[in-house]
Amino acid sequence: MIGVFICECGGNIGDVVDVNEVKESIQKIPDVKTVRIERFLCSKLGLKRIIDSVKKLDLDRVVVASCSPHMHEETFRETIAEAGLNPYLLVHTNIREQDSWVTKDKRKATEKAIAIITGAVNRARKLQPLKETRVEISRDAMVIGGGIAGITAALQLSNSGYHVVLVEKKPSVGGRMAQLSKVFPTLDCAPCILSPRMADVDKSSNITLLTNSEVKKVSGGPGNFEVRVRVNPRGVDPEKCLRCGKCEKVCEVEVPDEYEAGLYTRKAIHLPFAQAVPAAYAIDFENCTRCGKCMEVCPAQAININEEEREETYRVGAIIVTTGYDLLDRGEIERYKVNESTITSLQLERLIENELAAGKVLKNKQGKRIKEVAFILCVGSRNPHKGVPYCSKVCCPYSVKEAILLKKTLPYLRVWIYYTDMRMYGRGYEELYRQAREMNINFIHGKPAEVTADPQTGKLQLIAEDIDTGQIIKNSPDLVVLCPAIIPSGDLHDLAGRLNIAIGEDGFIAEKHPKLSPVSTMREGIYAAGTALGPKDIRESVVDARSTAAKVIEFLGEGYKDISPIKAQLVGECHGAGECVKVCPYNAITLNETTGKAEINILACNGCGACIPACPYHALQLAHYTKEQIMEEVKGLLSVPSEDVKIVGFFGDSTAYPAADAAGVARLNYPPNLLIVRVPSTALLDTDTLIETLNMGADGIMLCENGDTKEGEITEQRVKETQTKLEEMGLEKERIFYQPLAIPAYKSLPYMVETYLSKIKKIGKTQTKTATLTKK
Amino acid sequence: MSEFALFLGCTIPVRCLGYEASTRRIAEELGIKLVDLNFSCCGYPLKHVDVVTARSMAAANLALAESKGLNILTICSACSGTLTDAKFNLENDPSAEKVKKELEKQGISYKGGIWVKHFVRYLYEDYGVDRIKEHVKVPLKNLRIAIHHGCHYLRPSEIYDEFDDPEHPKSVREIVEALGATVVDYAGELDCCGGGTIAFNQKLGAALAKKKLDNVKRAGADAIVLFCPFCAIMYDGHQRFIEEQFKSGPYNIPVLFLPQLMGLAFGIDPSELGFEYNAVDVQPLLEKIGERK
Amino acid sequence: MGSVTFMAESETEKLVVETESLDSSFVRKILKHPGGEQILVCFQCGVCTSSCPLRLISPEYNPRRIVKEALLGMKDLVLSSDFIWFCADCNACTERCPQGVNPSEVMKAIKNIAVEEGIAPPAVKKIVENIEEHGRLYPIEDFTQEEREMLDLPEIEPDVEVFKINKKKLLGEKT
Repeated sequence: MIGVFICECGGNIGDVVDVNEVKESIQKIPDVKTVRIERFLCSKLGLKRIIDSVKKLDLDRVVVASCSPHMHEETFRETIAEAGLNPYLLVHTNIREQDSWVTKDKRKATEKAIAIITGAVNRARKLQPLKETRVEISRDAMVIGGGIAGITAALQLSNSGYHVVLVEKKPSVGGRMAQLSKVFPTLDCAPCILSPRMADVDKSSNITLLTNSEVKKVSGGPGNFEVRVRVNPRGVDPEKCLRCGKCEKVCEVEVPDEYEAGLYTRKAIHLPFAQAVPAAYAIDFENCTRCGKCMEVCPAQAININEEEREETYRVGAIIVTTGYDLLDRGEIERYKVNESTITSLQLERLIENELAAGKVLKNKQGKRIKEVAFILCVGSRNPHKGVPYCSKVCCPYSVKEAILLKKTLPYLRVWIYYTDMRMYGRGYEELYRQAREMNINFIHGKPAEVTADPQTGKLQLIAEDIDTGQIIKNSPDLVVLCPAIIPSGDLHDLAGRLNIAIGEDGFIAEKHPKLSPVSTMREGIYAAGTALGPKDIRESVVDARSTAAKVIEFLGEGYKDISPIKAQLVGECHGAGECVKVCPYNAITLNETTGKAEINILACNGCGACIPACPYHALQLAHYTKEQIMEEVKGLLSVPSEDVKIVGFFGDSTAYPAADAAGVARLNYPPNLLIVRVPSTALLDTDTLIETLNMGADGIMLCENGDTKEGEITEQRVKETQTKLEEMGLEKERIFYQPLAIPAYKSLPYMVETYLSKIKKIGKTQTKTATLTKK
Repeated sequence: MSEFALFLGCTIPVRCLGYEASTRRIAEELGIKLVDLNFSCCGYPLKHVDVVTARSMAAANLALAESKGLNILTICSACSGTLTDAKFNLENDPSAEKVKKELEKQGISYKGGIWVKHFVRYLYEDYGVDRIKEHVKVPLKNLRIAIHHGCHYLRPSEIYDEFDDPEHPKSVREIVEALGATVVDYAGELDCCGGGTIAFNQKLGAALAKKKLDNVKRAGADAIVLFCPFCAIMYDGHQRFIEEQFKSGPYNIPVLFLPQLMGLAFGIDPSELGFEYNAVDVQPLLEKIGERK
Repeated sequence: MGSVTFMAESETEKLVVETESLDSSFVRKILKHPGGEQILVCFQCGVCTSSCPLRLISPEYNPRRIVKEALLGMKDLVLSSDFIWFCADCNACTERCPQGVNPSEVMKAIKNIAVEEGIAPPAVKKIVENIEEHGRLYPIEDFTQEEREMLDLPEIEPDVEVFKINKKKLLGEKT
């Protein structure tokens, strides 16, 4: 007795799919006792209706057709458990992210929904009750990036009793905030309020601080991540270093100082900055000549220029990404950066700290006193043409802050801010803007097209329309401060690939849901905070960081996880062949020394199913994804007759299925010919299953899996073998196709589908070819 | 030997004969064969009236060259802009359907099989500055040259495959330096000559040209080098007019077409380079490099 | 000490723009015109005006303001201005506009619309006439052929036709 519950999702589904027509079709299926349509199935009322239906109608299987199971599968499982049903007697099928959100044609979306739900009903019929097992997980967390967001998250977690590994790529924590002078709107001294936090990180016994370090490889899964960290050599032992500076004096290498944003220089051996944590010198080995002079003069013998890099592996339950931002240095900014008198806002922060704070008057490189400063906002921002399409948010408040600092210290300065819009969005920011106007800082509504330096005199010039008065204004300031677009830190893209998390269209980390699941990534157990998620100010980074700490604590919980029953299990006689042991990507199967029979470790088992086809005696099955259950689903999926060619997509649940979801969230469109079957991994499917799928009416099969994994390799191999078999049977090998698909590549999904679809369209429907498909 | 259709446009064959003569002469020197086809106006002046008609006219000219299997080299920057824009539009813009319809009505089809480039871009990108240097017999060592790039050689950069940076161009600089001359930087280097304005408001157009003449004079250049007939008409043809109109100058800045400068560096006799058609006297310049007319 | 003349009340009312007087079809016309498709995204940053070569010569020439007036539907104001014809078509604005509005193409679209409505400077008429008749902007006189001969330049065809145009149709004249 199957109950089918269709969600309209407040129009997200209902406006595209004709749910009444779907209900009529599904009602006709034998064993379907009831089909209910709800506007919001996941609401309290909707869930109650499910419970009532199960009880009243004595349902023993439930199908929910709504959003992605990645959203609410747990919720619905708990709901039917409340009604007295085993929670694994549920099929949560996806008609939103993988249908209504990606199909333009309403007719086709409705037909697709019918096919999907028919498949789900078929699957439900074959489900068996299953139980979870409780297992221990790691209660440690890793924070990648030691700026204000990373520091805050690490401290919050360590104060709550959790052990944190904080990985920072530079020789000191502190990030961008350490480079700032004063922060808005309070005008507090940035290093002063940051230093105590940095010191706390150093002191905390619950934090393992790894500086000069980078994450190289991540394996395992949520609750049990195995992270390989490369610790680059510092060349100086922080325990011994006295910070006397003798080494620095004898070092002959001088390079631009990145802490000073390139305004000043440093030596190869240097103290990153005054408040650095660890409070020790470090050697920049990229520029160090290894002359050894520093080693000779160090009174504490703290230096070792031959220090080598080392690798350390950590096992953590959750990861927080706080890798921060960079400033855009190409595109539009090239029209404004003309000589050393056109600087970026970050360079101005350093100038303020080094010159103004030291009581000096601002002078240019020629030693002439600076009397007039012009800020240019939106350099590279809001510019899809030659920059980034988004607004960098903090430049309006920080430029006002910088202008106020300049004017306060040197009242004779004439300060101009050229803006397109003044976006003073936060608490206290509008008041800061008023303060600036009261100090006679000139605001010009109009953007200069470029900054020119006269080739003969070197004088800077900007020309802009003052839109408010309609006059053209020409200005020759002594210093021009550019506010460049804020972009994600350069390493984010690679790191995201290693962590297998999605990057949004704008290059920053994609959040699970921008309103309701901020700071969570698409992957369980991995969170993000601060400017890795987009431009924001310090307060927001701190709020993000605190949220991620709370999410991590919730996730790690008491240190155990109730393990899903979706694991490999022995159902036949084990003959000790050992093929399963060889193929398992997680080393989860061993042969018992005494009995010689296979034993499966359910904690290590990832439920991928790679072992299933490997067993020559067919003694294994994957609970909840047996061959029968999968074939029944496919049969239902292909049951709706159609002129169009049909492609069955087996999508691995670790990356390919979430990638398809991400494409839905982004509202990308692709042809409805693709019918997706969710499998733990495509390595589960044997050749028979694939050929049977063609038998049942599929014209093409796409297997999508994470290409960088063993599951992917296994799939690739199996597809090749199946293609050989197809050719032997007189069928086109194009009918089965392996498509590596990791979450960050979701944007390419429509292209992949359309490309494969046109191939299949060319060779036509399978049934019209020789009907000599034989089952082995 | 490379062979190209030469697109002269409307202005050069009538009003800039020195440019045409010097171009043909140095092309000969460099081994570049130029073929004359019966091209019409590129369509540029019709853009004010109807952009679709203008593009259709440009596309029809492209089709003519395609029928002869020849890529187009043009020495007028406005023509370069119009022809390149038409090709880009046909290949990238959905609004090109209108242009295609107009062409169909007249039985013309352009399949995109040939390309069009400004001659100077071709010299830089394809012919090569090193090869040009090989032909230099009289390095122009004493000459200080102000380059006027004009507008349509570089902008909009999207249609020109961004072959040079419209904000900091270097293609022409490299050619001029290969000839041995010194390139002089001056304020307002990327400014427009005003040629597009002068048909509708003479004083306004001339005022634009005046700005550049003032800047070039201040920078102390010996000559302006350019490669578009409109720009030449503004700086050379109107130099006296500007002096009278605005009581500015006197400038006495000779205006040379790039092929003329190249011809001098290649040791070609000035009489073959059409200098009699330069309005501002080039004699002082020739004397500076040791040539006599 | 001078005296102040106050404007008559009926005159001051003219300075206020009533939204009923705005023509929303004007923007739609521009949007449909090749080149004008992106006019809506302009956010009035002013980079076009500050890049425009005419801005220092004639501060009244203001592409940003013309775009805004067009967006608001101030059709008569825009079509009757001289300034749309003074655009030098240098493309500096298009090159630098952060939002891709393509102001130099928008200017052409506006001019095309003006011509459709019968508004055009006399120079435009002459241009179209020459091109219709000769396929060229400047007719080829005998004098030109002689000059060319003296420089050993090839003789050129005085009349060429690669694409037919119809002057009356282009200028919106009644046949």
